[in-house]
Amino acid sequence: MSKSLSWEIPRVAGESKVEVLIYDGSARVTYSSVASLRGFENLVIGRKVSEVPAIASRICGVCSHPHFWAASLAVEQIAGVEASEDTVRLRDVCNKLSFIQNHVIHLGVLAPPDYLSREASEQLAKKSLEINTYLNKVIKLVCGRLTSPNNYSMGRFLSDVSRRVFMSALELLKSVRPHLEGFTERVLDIELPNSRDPSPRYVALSGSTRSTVPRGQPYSLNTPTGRFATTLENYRELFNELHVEYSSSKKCLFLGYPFYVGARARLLSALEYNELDGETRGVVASFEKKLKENPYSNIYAKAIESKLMFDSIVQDVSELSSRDLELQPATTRCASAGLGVVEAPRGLLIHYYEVDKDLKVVRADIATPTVMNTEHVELSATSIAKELLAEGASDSTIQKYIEALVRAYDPCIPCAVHVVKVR
Amino acid sequence: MKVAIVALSGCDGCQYNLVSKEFADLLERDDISLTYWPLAGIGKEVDDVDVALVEGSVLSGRDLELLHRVRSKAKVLVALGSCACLGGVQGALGLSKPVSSHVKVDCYVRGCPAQPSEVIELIKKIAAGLKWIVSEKRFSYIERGGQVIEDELMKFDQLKCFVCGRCVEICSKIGAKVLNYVNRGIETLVSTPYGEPFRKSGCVYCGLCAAYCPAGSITYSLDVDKVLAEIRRGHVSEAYVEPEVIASLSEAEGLDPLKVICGLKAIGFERVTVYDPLAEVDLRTEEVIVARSLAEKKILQTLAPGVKAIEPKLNIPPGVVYITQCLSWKRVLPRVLTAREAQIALKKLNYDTLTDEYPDYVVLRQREVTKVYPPANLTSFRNEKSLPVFEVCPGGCLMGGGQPLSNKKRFSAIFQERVTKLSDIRRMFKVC
Repeated sequence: MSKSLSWEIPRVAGESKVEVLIYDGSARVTYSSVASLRGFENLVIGRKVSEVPAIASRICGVCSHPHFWAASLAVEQIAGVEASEDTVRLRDVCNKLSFIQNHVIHLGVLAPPDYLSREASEQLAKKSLEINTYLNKVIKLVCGRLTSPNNYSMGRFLSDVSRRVFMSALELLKSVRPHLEGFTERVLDIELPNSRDPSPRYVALSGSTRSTVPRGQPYSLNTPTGRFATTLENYRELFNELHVEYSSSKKCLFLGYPFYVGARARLLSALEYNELDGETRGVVASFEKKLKENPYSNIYAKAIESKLMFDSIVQDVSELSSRDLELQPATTRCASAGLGVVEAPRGLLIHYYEVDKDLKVVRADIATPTVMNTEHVELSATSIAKELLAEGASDSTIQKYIEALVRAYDPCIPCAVHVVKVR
Repeated sequence: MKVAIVALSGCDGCQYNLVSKEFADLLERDDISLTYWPLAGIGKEVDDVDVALVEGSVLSGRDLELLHRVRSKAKVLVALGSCACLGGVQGALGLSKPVSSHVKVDCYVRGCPAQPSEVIELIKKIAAGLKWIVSEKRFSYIERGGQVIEDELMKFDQLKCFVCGRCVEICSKIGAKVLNYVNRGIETLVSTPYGEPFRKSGCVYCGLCAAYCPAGSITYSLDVDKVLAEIRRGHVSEAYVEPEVIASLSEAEGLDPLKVICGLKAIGFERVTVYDPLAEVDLRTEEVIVARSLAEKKILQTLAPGVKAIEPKLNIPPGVVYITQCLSWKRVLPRVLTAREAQIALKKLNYDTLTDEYPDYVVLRQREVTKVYPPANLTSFRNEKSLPVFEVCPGGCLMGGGQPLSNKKRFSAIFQERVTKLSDIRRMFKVC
């Protein structure tokens, strides 16, 4: 006898649907986006390459900052522009600010009702909103705007980010610290359901806990099986994108295997490749087992990472505020195509653009973290559904656990559905 | 008041911006409750609500169905952000249309992303029963108000005006201060005070606004056809032309000054007199400044009320057409053509057939002239030999309001060439 459960998932960015097919005591879960395609890759075709970052940052309102940086890196490679050391650090600060903002909304507003009582969830939500009030001010100060930032430009920043800006940012960050510490501690106290990760393969940028926006090619990737250098030539061989009939977004495999990206991948890779300092290493190591085995533990990873990145932002901003910055970009060789790989709050983000002789885009390819995670989400959800079926759990219990799992990955559907080709 | 937040296809950025303490504080109020917001897991279906904030644009049947359902349930439907207001980035591909092309939208909050403070203010206003003022009028040009302000000489069509402000700038620069902005924000218009006709609003008829308007919304009435008809009927046969007009026509049409005179004769004037209005000015007292025209006299009296100004007494016989650079003479003399009207008449000719012709009479001034602007410099320029003359137009009479259109773009280039031509003319006619 077979039956199927299907429902839309609230409290995630965009509209997505889970379908559980139960047959002969076994189960198969599919996760698909129901939002309509938006065709950003087609939209940039024929556009001047310098316009691309601003358009690309409109792909997603939730993670517009990393989209801008990934597109910028690709465009800079095409235009033969190399950002200065200070610009790269400043970009990293902006990107990390958007990380914390994203994580705090996810951990405070979207995820808690899955694990906590109504009152406890509301308390956490209030805390997250308080933190966000300060963070939003810092982001507006440095990046110009909360979503689709307007202070960024190819190779540089549009307005001078002066010492005064840094000092005000530091003041605001000081006010965030006690709130954020209390908040992350509360999140780390949450008791998560137990589950086994069926495919423990992660992919993360090397040194992503230190810098989320790299300098340029080649982009080094950490995986459990070793380091891979990604370049313009080989990134398609590493990341295989597939179309699936039941969803309006694609799926992505790494060397043919399902994998996951995001906070959990970043922390595990940092631990494995010794990229963490003494104290932080101790904190992450205490969660190592949970992070490795339990896909729900992305919640913990986000909390730890928020704290980690906050410290690194404060350190960077105080360092940058103590001296005059060199933000003038250098020039290098131009190219006919460019690749940008950065870390976004939800994981690895890849932008690829190809131009003609008039510097107009002729081909674009964008691989987003949600697309990369989809296959892994399905695998983990299928495994949980099977475990629960074996225990004789009811449909509503299966539904509850699978929904919480999907939400733990923090999918972002607006990012995912830009990619389908318009026919 | 019940509020729902609905997402169609878009980036969710406007919704994410709403996740803030200010918005949470708003929802704490007793009279406001959020009944549907999938992003925060509130509500399963859109129920009857007072306000529905709709983000994103319509990309699929599913979006359309949801939008119609929301419209039927909501008393006030707010289009939130650029995607909902205008179709957004996906709209640029032709994939989607703005929400207003499918259902009636009561209110627009524009921006990519929409500013949360604007949304919060709007909800507060609606809750208080006040009329909301946030609206998207920028893209509906037809709704903009406007009228035609005119009298017998000047005409200003506000519907053609795109409020560039060049006329306002020049009008205030010369001190006439007739044209100015009225209303605020998107409803800003250029107008005379209270939309009165020009003659009632202190206009000096210098014609500079018409010369500076890039949209052709300010024009003055053209008498070319009338004068040409009179020539044909034999009512007029002579023209008095200012040397500045010959210089500027010569520059604008790329003709030699003598060919311009030939052109005027080809139009139908039997006699052409080069006539400088300053030639017959007789200055006996020291405390006097000469204004070149009526317009300039009026402005001088406004700017420096204590200074005595005289205007030249034109000695133009009846039945003679006066071709001048200053529009204001049209108010006192019966037959006046501006240099621009003369240009229109000249353009009907074949320039290859023109030959050099000398004027029949030349009446030029014999005294030196000191151009004085602004009037504060009046005393410092005065001396026995020279005649103090007030010229208010930027560039003087060579660049006056009635002068012809030039092919060149740079003000300084046009001015320089006209100055050269004018000195040529003076030299040439003194010899003859």
